[in-house]
Amino acid sequence: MNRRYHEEDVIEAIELLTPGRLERFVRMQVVAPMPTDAGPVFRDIDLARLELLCDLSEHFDMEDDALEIVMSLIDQMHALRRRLRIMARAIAAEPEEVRLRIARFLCENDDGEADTGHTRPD
Amino acid sequence: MDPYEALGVRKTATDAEIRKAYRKIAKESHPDLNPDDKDAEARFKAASAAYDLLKDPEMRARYDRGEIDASGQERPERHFYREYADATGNPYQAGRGFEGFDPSDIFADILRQRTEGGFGFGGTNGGPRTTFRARGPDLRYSMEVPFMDAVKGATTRITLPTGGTLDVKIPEGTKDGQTIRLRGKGGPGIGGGPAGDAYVTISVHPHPVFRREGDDILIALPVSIDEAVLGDKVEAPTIDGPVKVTVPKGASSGQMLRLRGRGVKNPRTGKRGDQKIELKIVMPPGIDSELETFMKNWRKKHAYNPRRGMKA
Repeated sequence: MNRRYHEEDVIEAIELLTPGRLERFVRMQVVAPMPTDAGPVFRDIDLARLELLCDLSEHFDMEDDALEIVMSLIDQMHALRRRLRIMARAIAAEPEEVRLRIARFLCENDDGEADTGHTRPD
Repeated sequence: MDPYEALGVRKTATDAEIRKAYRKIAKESHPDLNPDDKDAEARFKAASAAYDLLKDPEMRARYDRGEIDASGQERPERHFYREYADATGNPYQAGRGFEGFDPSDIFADILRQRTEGGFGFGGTNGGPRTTFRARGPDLRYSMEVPFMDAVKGATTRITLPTGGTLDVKIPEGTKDGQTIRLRGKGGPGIGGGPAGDAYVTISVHPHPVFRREGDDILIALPVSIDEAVLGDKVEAPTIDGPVKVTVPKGASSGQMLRLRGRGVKNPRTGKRGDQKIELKIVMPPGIDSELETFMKNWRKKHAYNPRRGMKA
């Protein structure tokens, strides 16, 4: 699972990735390979991230600044999701009475439609 | 699936229309931009395969003439970032560690409420600030360390992309994916504000002999058939060097021995885990005639079925 890739393996594996693009993403620090004696090394998570970066650059024509903003937002979203899940676990461990009180509070205060995660077509 | 249908365009669509249709689907269905949508991946993959075919005028013409079909256009298996994003030790969100709460944090919100009593948080400064001060940004790095350094602790120096170096103290018992916080080693503050922190995510390089499971160390220990049959004291590696262990008489492959307190020190409790040794019986390099004759004779009187009671 936890595989390691060198620059040339990464460029080979990802169709849209060119050496120039890779150099640009690393310079912008939106992807952070591990420095080793044999040069930078990429992990599976870096590959998945590079695929996303290529999609955003290629199909949405995103420039450096836009790309940095989007990646920063995605990272913040995942950090928040992770913390929310931990909080949900903490709540799940509470007695039923507490859980019900929290559930009621959530229902009363959450009037958005945040439960599906679908983007609404305009 | 018909690629035109997958993109929702007519057969006469222009290249620009095809690109626009693909962008629209990618926007709504890219799994990394819609992480809660379970069906996003299937929609996105279908659209991507269709777009791969139709964006190339030559391929599109061949498809229209019926020379090729839509299959074979599937991209190699791809993993989306969202599959990794939530894993512990994701180096891209390490800036939000759990040692201490950031005051802007949602968890801090919960803890704050009881003591707040109607006043703003952190009212000790007295009055509004007139000058702008800000803490420097947190910086994130990742590094790979040898198995033994993570288990026993070490100090390593990493070279930063900016050219500087950072000394990282790897505490004893560091786990794969763990993040180490170096206070004040991040970006400089603004207007006299304090520097941010550096977060270093540790990736542990696997060891050829030792594996780690929580605080326990696992190894597979090869033993000869005579050691297994007769029992013996043999040498086994541990993270502190070799020790003698007793192979019990009549040991089987898969049998586990436990060396208490020979595992990894838990940084929280200070207690060490165990080393678990799985015995693995290894045959001699060749079966000589003496052994063969002995086994043939032995089988006549002592044959046994180790698979008895095994139900599929």
